[in-house]
Amino acid sequence: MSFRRKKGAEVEETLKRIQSQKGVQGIIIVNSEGIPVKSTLDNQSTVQYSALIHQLVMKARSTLRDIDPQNDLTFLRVRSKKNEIMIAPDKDYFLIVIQNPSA
Amino acid sequence: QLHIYKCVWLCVLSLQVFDSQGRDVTPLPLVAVADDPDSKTHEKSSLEEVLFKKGSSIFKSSTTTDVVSSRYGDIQTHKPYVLCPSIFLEIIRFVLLLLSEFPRKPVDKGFDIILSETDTISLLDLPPTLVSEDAEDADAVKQRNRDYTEFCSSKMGSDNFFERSSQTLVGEHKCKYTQTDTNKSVNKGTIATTWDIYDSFSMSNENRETRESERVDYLTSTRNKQDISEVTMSRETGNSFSENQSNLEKILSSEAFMKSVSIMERVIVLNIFQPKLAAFRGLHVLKGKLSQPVCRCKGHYLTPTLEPLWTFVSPLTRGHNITCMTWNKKNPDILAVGYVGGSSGNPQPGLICCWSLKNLVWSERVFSCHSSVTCLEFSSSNPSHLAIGMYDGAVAIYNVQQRCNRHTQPVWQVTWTKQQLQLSGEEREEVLVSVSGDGRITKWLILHNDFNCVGNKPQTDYRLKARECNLYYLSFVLSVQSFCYDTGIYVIGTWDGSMHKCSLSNSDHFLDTYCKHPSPVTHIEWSPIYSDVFLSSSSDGTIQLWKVDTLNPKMSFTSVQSIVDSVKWSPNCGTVFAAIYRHRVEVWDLCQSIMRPTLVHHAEPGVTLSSLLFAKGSDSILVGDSRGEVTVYKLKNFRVGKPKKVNGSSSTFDLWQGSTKSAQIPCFFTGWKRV
Repeated sequence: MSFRRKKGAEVEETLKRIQSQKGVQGIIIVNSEGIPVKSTLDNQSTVQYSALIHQLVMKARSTLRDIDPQNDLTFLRVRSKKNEIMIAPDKDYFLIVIQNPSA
Repeated sequence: QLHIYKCVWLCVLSLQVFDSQGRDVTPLPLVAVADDPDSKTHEKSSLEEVLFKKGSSIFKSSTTTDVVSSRYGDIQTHKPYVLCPSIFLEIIRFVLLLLSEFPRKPVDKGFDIILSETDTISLLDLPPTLVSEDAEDADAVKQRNRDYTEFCSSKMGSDNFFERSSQTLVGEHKCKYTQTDTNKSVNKGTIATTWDIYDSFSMSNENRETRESERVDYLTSTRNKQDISEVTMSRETGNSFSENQSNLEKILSSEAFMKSVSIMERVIVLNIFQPKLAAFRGLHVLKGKLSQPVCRCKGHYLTPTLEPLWTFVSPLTRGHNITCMTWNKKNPDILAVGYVGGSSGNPQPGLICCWSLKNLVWSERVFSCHSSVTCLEFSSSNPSHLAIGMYDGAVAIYNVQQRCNRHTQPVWQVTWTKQQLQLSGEEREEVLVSVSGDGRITKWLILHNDFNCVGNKPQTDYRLKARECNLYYLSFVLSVQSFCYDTGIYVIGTWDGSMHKCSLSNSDHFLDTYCKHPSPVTHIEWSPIYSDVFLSSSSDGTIQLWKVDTLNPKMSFTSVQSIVDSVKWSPNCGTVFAAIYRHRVEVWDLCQSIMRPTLVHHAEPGVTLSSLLFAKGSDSILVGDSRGEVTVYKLKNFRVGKPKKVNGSSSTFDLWQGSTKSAQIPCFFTGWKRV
């Protein structure tokens, strides 16, 4: 039980560190149904990001698996002019982080 | 018999049965009896009525059990119970069973109920209209049939019968309209993608397997299904916020999430530090808005400088002095750093951190030990084993693969003071050699390599056998140096300034002694490129370059009167080495000058530099200081011309004999270009 609590505390600590890194604009955690469960951005942006990124990840995953059904998506990075969106998808959740490394 | 029946029946009426939880499970009578004043007028009900009529019904019989009924009529308090013989017998049997097994008073035990079959009860009997030829009454049937045909034929002309027509009345038709709901239809389409088919196929395989295992207890599964449906109903009507919370907790505590988060952290940090890491690796730095503006030097000769890239520091390590650093042998991106806990002098719990180049802001592993760490080294045969020597004389081996920070072997408490150790390979087996402050050199043989962590208690299968090597107690031994791997020769430096050449195979006495330093030798380092050249540094502020078979140093380098803590060769270039003084770092490049250091870097005021390490494959050095920070510097403008590794051969050093102070260095090293 204490081991589990330690793991949970480690996750929280790591999330805090990510939040404090240079240029990180927001962190969103979305569950498997597409509903954001935790976010550091405002509500409207969160909902927008989670809905759009959900579709994008589904499309990316479908693309990969059409080529080889035994393959699966592990990480997705979308770099744009202004910032970079990093997505770690899994079957139970998505972890989305938006960073602007030059800011 | 009837008397017995009566007694039994009375007992039945007063008996009460309780099960293991104390509930009343007294068997109820098979027939419910109602208080009906018109009971006498009811006809005899059949057996079928009794069994299939629900609710209260009076059952009376008047046929076979007249005597019984007369007997029962004597009981004024109860209505007459009259039963058919078969049911009666069953109940009697059941009751006798009860009574035989249990005492009169109710018990809190369970009991067995034995059920047995009744006779077959036929509910519907439609006899067929066909009779087989072989039946017993076939002849009678045939005769009847023949009589009938004769009768029909005789009907025509006889006077007994006459024809008459009749009309059937056809009833009036009536139209009755009714309306039904239309069947709703929904169109649904999907695209069967390749992975969809693959998933369904693999899932149906799994389902088949799970279904087979569940077939045994289908009762429980049906109950589960019911529970699940109830739960889903409640979830729809329940609070969505609380569901989100539990969802979040579930996500946060899953293993896969921890992994995703750590990968994400690395990616973010790499994004931030991309220019620095590119400089570290010697790669081209990304231009554009995302990178820091880099000052473009136009290619003329500039003074060599150290450009700081980044610092390995974390809140845990702040303020701890760094004593030693080492790279992993297999994965050159992993760095292990040993820290002194608290102020030196008091043995306080020390710290070891493993840093990875992928995450520059947080150490991957942190291990605490009970005493300050003085030296550490990764093993090359088991790349995840880290051997450390501690201030109080203990030697420990950690397995850095596991996150749980536990000793993986028992730590001996010995009477040695300071420890330094080195892992070396010898005859394909790895030996651990430790040198202590009281003059003992011990060679440890690694016997078992079992690092299983069972639960939280590590198995201590890993044993090191100590084999005493060298028992000279002449003076305190301060440092031992890496061996020539093929010859097994090593050199030790001592407190009084002399250095001894020893051999691993010969443990009785020294082979040679090199005397030059008047004060304690702090560090000895073999050249990684020339196998018989080594450097020594000492507290008198000099660095001497030796060749193994000559007892006088070939060259000596002095710059400032300060204790040289450590000297290290560069793994990339054969003529570059760096030395760390208390407050400065000097990098010497022998092809540029042997009189002065090529590069001097001063530490910040108040900070003592304590440890030095080169990075293989990249021209950077790592400097550890007393604040607990490891700073990575890049050697800029250092070499104009490609560093080239030269195959060392003893013939090239014959030229050294005569010219120790000559500036014609290039001709000493054959095959080496100089711009």
